Amino acid sequence: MLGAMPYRDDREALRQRNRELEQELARAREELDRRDQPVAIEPAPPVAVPARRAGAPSFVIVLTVVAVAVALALGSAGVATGPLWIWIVAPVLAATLILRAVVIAGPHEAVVLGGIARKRRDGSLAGYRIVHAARVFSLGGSLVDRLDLGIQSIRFTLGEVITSDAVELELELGACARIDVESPNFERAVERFAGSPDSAVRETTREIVATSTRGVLASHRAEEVFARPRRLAEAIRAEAEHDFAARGMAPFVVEILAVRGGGKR
Amino acid sequence: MTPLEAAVLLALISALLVSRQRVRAGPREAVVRLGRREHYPAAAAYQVIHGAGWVWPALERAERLPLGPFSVEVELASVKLGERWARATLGCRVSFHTARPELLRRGVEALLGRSAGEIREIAEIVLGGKLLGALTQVGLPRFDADRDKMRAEVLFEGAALLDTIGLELDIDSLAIEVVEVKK
Repeated sequence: MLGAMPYRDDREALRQRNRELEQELARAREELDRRDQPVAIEPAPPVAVPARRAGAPSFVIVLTVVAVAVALALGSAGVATGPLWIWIVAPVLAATLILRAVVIAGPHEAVVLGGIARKRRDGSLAGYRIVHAARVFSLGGSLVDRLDLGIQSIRFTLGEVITSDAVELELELGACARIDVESPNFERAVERFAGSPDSAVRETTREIVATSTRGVLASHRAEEVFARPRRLAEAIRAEAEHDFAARGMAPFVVEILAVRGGGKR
Repeated sequence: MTPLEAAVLLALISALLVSRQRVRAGPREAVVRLGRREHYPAAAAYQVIHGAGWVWPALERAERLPLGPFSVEVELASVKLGERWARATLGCRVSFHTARPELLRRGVEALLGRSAGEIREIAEIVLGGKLLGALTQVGLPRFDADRDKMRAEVLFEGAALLDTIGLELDIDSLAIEVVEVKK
């Protein structure tokens, strides 16, 4: 009798443990289901319409006034100039045409002009033209977007990074990257980012660096991460280079700014 | 209208046009004139103007580049050095290389259109990483003895990297203190 009690208690304890595990499993399944839900995609913000070129109204007005003055001067000199409204409407139309057709792109941006068919070097066709660090006169193309080619920075915290000795760390990372105009995949970057908000480059940088960090740390011990963050940052950058290049981007710097945690998983 | 009156009117309008299209840079900024012709090499497709310059209406445009100096404060709240944790702060200034035009051009290509805050953040990331690397390499026991060496290392590595985007680095202060001793 005395010997049976512990036996019953053990069985009861096992049943209780089994119930707890089943509940835990159910919670884990719910969590997984929740994570597998399609992420609600927010509607993309409208493409930013480039700001009206500074000085555009004054350019139109000045051109019109100059034309009217010339017409009046010619008229007073006895030269037949025709009706005055032509001297008003024509400069306005000309100025509007010039302002629409002249596209200026700085060294830090690429302007994408749509509605222009052109043949690439490999023979394939593209329906757009890219202008970088130049001024072009384009009557046929319509301005689609301005892409920022400057360096963009992002700082973020990456949690639940597991090292090779099964230690869970939290890393604060900083990265700066840009769309690389000299990359062979530059057009791929244009197609990817045209029409996207400026934060898309930062978000892509974050994704690449996060993935590379997890990959690199999986083959290093936690102690190495604390002791040699510089070497690891170089390894993360080297790992990320390929992914950046494939997207037509180039990293400027990838740095580890803080390492926290250290508990066994 | 007589030809003389028309000429006077044209002269006035020209003067108005000139005054409106003349851009002036402040003491801590440069104006970058964009819109050169496409067949020029990329480096000639823009021009950095200090002081003042003329921008053709409709055919060119101007953007302003803040030259700094920008104050940058880097703080590493907790760095594990063996069994100890330390806090490090670094105060410095970064500015564009105005004395070296070839480096300033790098800055224009990398950072034109960026705000002062964004330029600061880029410098913070670069220097934060270099400071953490130097600190963990030197180690806390030797820090006091190697303070100058560490400062030189952060300055050397940070400056080399910032040079590539046309920024000049000047370190004002570097402080490190132990904040916790783990048993």
